[in-house]
Amino acid sequence: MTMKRLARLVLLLGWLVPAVALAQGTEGKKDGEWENVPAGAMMKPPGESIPASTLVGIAYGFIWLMVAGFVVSVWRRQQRLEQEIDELRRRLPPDAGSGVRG
Amino acid sequence: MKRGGLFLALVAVTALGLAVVPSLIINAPTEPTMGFIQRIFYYHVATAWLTFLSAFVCAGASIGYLANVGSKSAQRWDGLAMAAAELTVVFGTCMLVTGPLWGRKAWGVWWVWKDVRLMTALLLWFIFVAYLLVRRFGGPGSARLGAGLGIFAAADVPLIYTSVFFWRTQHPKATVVTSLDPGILLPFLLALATFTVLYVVLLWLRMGLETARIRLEDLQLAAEDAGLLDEMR
Repeated sequence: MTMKRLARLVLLLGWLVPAVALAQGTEGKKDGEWENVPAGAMMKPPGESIPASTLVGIAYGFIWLMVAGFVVSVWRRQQRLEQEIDELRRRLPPDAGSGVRG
Repeated sequence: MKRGGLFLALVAVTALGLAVVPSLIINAPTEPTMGFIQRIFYYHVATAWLTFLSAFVCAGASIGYLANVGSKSAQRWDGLAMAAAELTVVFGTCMLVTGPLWGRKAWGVWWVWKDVRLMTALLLWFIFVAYLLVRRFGGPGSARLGAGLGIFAAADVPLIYTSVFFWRTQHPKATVVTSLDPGILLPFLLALATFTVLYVVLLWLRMGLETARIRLEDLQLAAEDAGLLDEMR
């Protein structure tokens, strides 16, 4: 495929995607509205029994678990790298790697 | 201010924010339509914001890498892209988990497969998981491939943001923020600011790992020059 044909294809897609989207419309939702679903339906979804406070607690707890997990993972990888660096430094003659950064 | 001092200041600001924001969220007025579950909003939007920010950081660093391939700074750009990609997956996971927890109570369903906002957000997460897999198992050349993937992935972010304007979705528009009660808006903005500083701290930490990796690679080269590498193997 030549660059010209590729550019034409990209232009066509760039025009078609918003056109299809606009054709579908955004009826039923205005700026500043939380969602399309009627307010009554939102408060008591059918079959929903988990208390809101539990769901909020799970959400907040999960975020902090992820952040803590990331920090621990970085720390462990850092420890491993530092060990390898120390090992190499011990084996290298003092003048070797003098230009090494850090 | 030295780099170490700046880092400690950022950690202090994050700690202060994390101490203050939860009490503001608890004392914030309850949204009348959704009730208590709306409180997920404060962290869900913050993690979504960081996912998008991180995707852009990765794309910017990937461009920086591709523009500097062969030079010393390329490694730094690549390291930044890698760090940002990991954080995109971390905060993207938070966004994709907290959203359904909110949706279950508010919409009555965990997930809506036809919802463009939800699906494009999931797509972004998958692309960044693919990025990390490419970097982990791709072998030589994976840095360039990853850079291309990082730039491509960032193109999904405007699509996620604008999807609620173009398609009919369950998800609320971002314009909902402008109509918020001031009692909800203040904790929301503070949560957003705290999470942004937290992101900088985490990125900084992760970049420390990249600095160590670069130092190790330099030492390995020095060891190879000294003929020690074969001996060590």
